[in-house]
Amino acid sequence: MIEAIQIWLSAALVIWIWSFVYKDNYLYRLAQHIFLGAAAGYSIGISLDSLNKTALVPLAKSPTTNMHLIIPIIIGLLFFFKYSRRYYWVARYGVGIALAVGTALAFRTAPMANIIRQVNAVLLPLWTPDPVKTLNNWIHVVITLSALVYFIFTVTPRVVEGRPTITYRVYDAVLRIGIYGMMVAFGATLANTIMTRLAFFISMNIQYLQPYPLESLSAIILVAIAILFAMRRARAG
Amino acid sequence: MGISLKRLDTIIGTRQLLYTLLIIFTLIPMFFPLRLPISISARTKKVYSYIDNLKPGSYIFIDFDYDPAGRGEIEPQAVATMKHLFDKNCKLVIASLGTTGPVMFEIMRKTNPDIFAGKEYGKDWVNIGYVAGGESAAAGLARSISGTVAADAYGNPIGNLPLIKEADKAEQFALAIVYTTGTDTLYYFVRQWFTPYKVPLIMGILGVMGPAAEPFVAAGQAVELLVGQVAGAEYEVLVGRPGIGLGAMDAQSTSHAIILIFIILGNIMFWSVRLRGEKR
Amino acid sequence: MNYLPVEQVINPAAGTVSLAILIFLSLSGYYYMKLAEKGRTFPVRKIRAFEAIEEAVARSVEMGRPVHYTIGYGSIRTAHAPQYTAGLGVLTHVARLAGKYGARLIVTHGVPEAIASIDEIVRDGYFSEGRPELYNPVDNARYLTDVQFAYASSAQAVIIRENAGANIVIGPFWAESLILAEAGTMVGAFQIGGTARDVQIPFFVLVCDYAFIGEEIFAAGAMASGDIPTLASIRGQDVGKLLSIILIVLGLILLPLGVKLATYLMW
Repeated sequence: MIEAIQIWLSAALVIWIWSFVYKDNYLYRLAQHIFLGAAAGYSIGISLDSLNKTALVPLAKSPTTNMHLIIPIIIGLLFFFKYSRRYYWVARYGVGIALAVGTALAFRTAPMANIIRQVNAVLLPLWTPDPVKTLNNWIHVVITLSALVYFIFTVTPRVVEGRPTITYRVYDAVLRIGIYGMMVAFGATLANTIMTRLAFFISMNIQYLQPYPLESLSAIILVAIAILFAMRRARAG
Repeated sequence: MGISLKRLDTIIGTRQLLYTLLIIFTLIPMFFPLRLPISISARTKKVYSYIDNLKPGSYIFIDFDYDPAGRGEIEPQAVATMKHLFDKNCKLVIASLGTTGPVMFEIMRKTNPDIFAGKEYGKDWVNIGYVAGGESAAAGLARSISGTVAADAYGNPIGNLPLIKEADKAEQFALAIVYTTGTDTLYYFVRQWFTPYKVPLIMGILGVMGPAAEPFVAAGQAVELLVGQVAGAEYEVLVGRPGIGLGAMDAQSTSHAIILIFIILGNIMFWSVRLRGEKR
Repeated sequence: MNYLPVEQVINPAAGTVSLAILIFLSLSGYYYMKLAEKGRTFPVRKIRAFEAIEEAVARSVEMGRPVHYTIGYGSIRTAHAPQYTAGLGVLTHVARLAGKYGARLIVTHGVPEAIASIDEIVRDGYFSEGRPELYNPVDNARYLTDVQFAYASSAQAVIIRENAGANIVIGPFWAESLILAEAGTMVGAFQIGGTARDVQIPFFVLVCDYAFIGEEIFAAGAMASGDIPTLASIRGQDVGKLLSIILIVLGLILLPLGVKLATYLMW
């Protein structure tokens, strides 16, 4: 019985959320607020649990060896100064430290992952016995280089008295190649995404509808009526 | 002409029309399967033959780490590859670096009990459950599983599990498979399992992650990728056990056809409205 | 006398070259910031999406509709920190414009660490343009939640219910990018989007009126904040890209000569 209620409730929530693509309505609002509330509650729970596990419990168990944990706790507490009208600036120090740690962590692996590995991936032979491979390699190299040029913002050739120089024309052409190359990549990503989104949708249907065709058909009709009704109310109100 | 181009353009542009058609065309094949033939991609074949060529009884590490929304895309891959591994008598050590992983694993196990049939817990497979810490958890598990976690997902002390006594370190695993919906997780395994210990990686991922994960294969950091529901369906064909993946393929085909038609129609309308000089 | 093979002097596992690159880039960034403090300026190439922001804000005011701005959700303590900072940088610009034109600005987000900063940026924007009466903290800055789709479903609801005239989304975005942009399309908002997460750029390019492509958001963030050292840091980033171009060209030249630069770089 409980399980049936669970399934019905989750199926109903899924459909209420989907109803948004037709129009904003009361059922969507209800589902949205339930979702937001549950998410906020879950976040608070997880945060308190991690605070407990990583800081408070170790500190309580052996205060002398884990003394250093007091520092991050204090930094964390700084965030709450935001609620003081007079001392709200203190909160900036907390944000500053959090940002610095994030940036430093990103830095640690950036040269290897984002520069060296990527540069190495482009070092391809430009002449091979296989013409298709040669073409592929050329495209790979040319588009990588022109996309890199596209993202250089401060080193650009100047336009002297409104007349573009040859350097400028070459630069402009490279920018164009870069942007077209990126557009092709964007198209590929987009197509993959359509596939993923449809898969999400299809698997939801398989999960809830396929095992019980008759029940799901009646449920769909009921929900459609409910949504139509809610949309009418929303329009009238 | 009874109906102006502009009018037609607005009708095609109504999103309600597209959504309704999409719903109808994904539901129809679910109740009335069309059984369209599917061809197996070279990529899936490569994963299949890689697993097929593993020594029987090899130790395999599995990161079971997708979220509920990704179930439809990744579960078919996971079920089919795990069946293949169990058929080859491989021993599986399963862990989750994401919080939703253990829940998704239990759902998978409950809905596909046949692949676990005849396999003994603790000897043929072990589920460690959620391990917190992201990349540092991946690094810890690679160094020593028993040194990182004290108990498995069901509360058994890790020292009591015979399988963990045999396979505790990354070097002892013949292969690691990562089923995940997070691109970051792939980096964890490349950095903590492949780079230091040279453990071959197979990545089971969402369709949308495909382009982002491609460089791992190009750079030799991953054996191959299983991308999206299609890969799951293809693998189901290869192991001869139809499941959600194959069931969804008809719906994928019909709904993609609808989207293609709309893209073509949209472009025709866009250009004809433009050429006629009607203002949109 | 026996010389040790070079592999034993330089430990390949230590990533010596990556460390050298890290030090070089940090030093060049520092150098350009010092130069900027002495008064050197580095003009930045025109970025159309950035110039469109003013139009977006002005249009919304004309139509009597609010401006919606979001930097996304998540934690600032990750590798995505620079993107949140860029989002905050552009917000400085948008908040000032909102003050200048008297626009109602609604910022939604799911970054708990940024609650204080966002409040402050919005207040500064209105106060610096002499419109303190427009500032209403409860309405202007709305923290939703840091759970992905709960944030997305609420942000899209805000865009639609408040009938946003402009929808500006800049930060690191995941699967919610299209949800946010689609909501803007539904109400016919003037949309500007930008993210450096390459998987999500296509959606903004496709749906928005103007899109920042990748790294452009960092340049925009620096330009918008008007902070001189931040602007100079763009030159530092450019040095990094020039270095990559030089390495690629050098490697390609050396390759037919039988020298594999790739192996040396891995040291």
